[in-house]
Amino acid sequence: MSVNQLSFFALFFLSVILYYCVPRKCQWMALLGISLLFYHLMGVDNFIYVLVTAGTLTWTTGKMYQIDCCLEEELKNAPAKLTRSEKKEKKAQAKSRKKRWLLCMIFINLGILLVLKYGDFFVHNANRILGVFGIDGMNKLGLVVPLGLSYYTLQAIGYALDVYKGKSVPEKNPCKVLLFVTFFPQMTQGPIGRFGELAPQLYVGRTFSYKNLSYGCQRILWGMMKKTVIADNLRPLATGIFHQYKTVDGFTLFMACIYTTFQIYADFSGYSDIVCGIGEIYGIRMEENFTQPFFSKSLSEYWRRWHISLSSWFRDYIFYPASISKSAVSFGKFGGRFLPPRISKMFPAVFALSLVWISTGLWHDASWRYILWGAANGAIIISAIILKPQFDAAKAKLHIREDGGLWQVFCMIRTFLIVSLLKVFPGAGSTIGSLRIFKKIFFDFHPALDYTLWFMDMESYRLIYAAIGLVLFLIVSILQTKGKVRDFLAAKPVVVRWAVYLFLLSLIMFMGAFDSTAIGGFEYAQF
Amino acid sequence: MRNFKKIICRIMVLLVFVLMVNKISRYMYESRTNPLLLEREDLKETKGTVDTLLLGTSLVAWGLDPAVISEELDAVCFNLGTESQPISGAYFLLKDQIRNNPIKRVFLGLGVTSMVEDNNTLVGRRLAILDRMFSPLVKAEYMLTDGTFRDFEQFFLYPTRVENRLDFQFVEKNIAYKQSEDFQNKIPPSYTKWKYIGMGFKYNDQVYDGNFKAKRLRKNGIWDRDNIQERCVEYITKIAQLCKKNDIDFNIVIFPHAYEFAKLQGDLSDMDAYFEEFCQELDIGLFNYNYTAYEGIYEILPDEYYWDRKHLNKDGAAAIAHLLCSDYKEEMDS
Repeated sequence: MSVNQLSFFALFFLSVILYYCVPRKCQWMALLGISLLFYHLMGVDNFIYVLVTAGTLTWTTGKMYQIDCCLEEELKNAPAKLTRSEKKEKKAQAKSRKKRWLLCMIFINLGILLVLKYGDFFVHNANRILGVFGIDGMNKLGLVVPLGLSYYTLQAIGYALDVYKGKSVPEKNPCKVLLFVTFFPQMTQGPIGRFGELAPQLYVGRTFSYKNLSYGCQRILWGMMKKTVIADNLRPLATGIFHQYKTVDGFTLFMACIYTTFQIYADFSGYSDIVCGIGEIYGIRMEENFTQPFFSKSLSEYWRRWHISLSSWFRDYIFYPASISKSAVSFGKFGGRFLPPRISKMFPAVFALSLVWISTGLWHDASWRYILWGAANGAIIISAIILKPQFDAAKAKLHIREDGGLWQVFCMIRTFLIVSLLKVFPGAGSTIGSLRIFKKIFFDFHPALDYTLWFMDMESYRLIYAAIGLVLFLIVSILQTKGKVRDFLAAKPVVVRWAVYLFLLSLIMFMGAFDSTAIGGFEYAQF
Repeated sequence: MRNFKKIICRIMVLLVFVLMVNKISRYMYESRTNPLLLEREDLKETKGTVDTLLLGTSLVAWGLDPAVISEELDAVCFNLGTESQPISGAYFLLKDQIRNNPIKRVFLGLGVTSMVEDNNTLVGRRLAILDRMFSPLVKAEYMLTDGTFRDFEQFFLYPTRVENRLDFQFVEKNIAYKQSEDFQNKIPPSYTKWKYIGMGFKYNDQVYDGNFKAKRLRKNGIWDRDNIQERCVEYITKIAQLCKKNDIDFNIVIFPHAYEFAKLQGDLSDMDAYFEEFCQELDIGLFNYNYTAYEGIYEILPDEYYWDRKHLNKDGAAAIAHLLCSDYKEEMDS
């Protein structure tokens, strides 16, 4: 079962009734029951991994908190006033004990993720190396990756790190922690929630609000439109062209990259809209995952607007700690020996960025093409940082105004094209395939007005549906930059509002494709 | 309470809108070449009068003339056979018909593949059954028992079944046909391969040329007792129980195939023995027209009575209906 299915909404409707009918104190329990039921209906029979995650999380965060409390108590009740160095030493001891618990938690959860998701990838590559030396390879593990593992593992690690840093007070009730890990709308594809923001909303009891229901339904309808009208109609077109990459020319492949960009965006942001809408109906505000990423003027800005919950996770829990780590500092010192100070100063950031982008690539999929995709993103962002003075000088020479409208549009198109080009990695089925597609795009590129080259032999009606959806989506995106579309709509008379809703519903019914074969119905569920 | 009223009101608006869109969409997009269009009209018109029901796969849909049965048994017979009808579907169709008609007699047509192949996996097969049902409760029960989530979507939101909504020529032709006298008189468009007589029976009047390309049959095309699906047995048993409960005479009809083809279908005498035993056990009437069970069947139904290797044509459908009625009467008399 996927969140874009009618049966999901039928069950969801019942779950909302249940949620608001039980006493407020028990609402979180109802939510936990509903989440586990949905998780099971989404095709998961094995709950052991989420139980391990919730268990280790409760246990280790509890231990870390206990250490903090003990330290506080100890410092307060010390018979004689402790000197600064004594205090420092005690704090360092406590920190090291806390670190042990943190590492224990990360080791277990990351270990599960590594073995289940990356086990076969490592075995495959190790076999290749062993093969060079004529040594027999190992058998593949062939383990099944539970749905949403990558998402809830990051969410759990984020929570543990917050407790370690003293940003969050841990939850003692393991069932409540389990709810935080398994909250069903976000469990399979995010947004990756932060404990401080999400958990209090999950545990508090609330009364029914018609406004929440209305806003939630609006959001779900909009998400469904994106998913069924844009993403599912573009999907066969994009994948069809990539599958035939040997027989088509670079121009058509480049068009496929653009279709994939729109398709993945509509798919993933559609899912996020549906999920946020579901959350809103329960009265839970979830983190926004997108803020008009196609209006970004640089790749780094794009990544601040795309899959925000993931990029902010990597920023907060990998980039910041890594850029001030000892290794990054020594890397900077190493660079300083033979490079100008301006560049050597950037070394810690470059080190952290490289780490973030390789991890981002690996997080998406255990394959070389995704590692390459991450590396390419990282390389472009790092180059942009390093070459900034040169770019600024060139702009000054060409009398380009940074805030000029044309320049901004140019930057947006440039970013969009870069992002689209990088879609070759996820679009192609293999690493070799993606490299060949790049070769064709760069060396066999013959732009043509002949529409058959643009769309191959796909059904043209699918494109027309997707185009209608995209135009609508563009209009709404532009309006969103000027103000809140939903508040604007809410101020309109009921007839106008309902005309808009029924129009959207008709679009979904008439132009939606209901034949998505992607895992869980959504592209990002496979990660 | 105010919120509750508001929500109910909005849900009603939504339902009315979806129903309206479905109706309009069906009218525009339901293909004029779909026999269901005419069958459904007949089903509505004869509601409350049908006492004999023909169920089964295309063997029945194309190969058993209800008009002959109505005449010979002095009954009102309706052919509810559909392409690759799963036996579970036949059960629910019967359940639905019992609520709407005074059913006295049921003939379930089976062939070699009927028991070894569960045709329940294709959405289209299930939708063909849903589209022939009246009772919302039975529909819901069928969807919950046999359906998938896609059935819900495709049945409740009809437009999602249509692929190209921009083919306006197709829409124009559909509407023109539905407004024509031909449709009122239940005459299908002239270019369809089939003709419609009425009471759910469409026929093909071509004659089988004796050639078939597949010399090797699929595994499921060959009778093998070990391949019988439990689900098929379960639903025939359910049909038998339902009939017993409602005092309906339930009969199984084993359909013959063109001779050269039937010879490739394995040990049909074993199939005869199986059904003999099975029907006896459940107290079901059996009319077996396999060449191994009915000597001289190919004199009554020669190859000229088929339009392909499996399906009877118009003459064949009438001939087997005559044969079935005389055997049935004989059985009743004895």
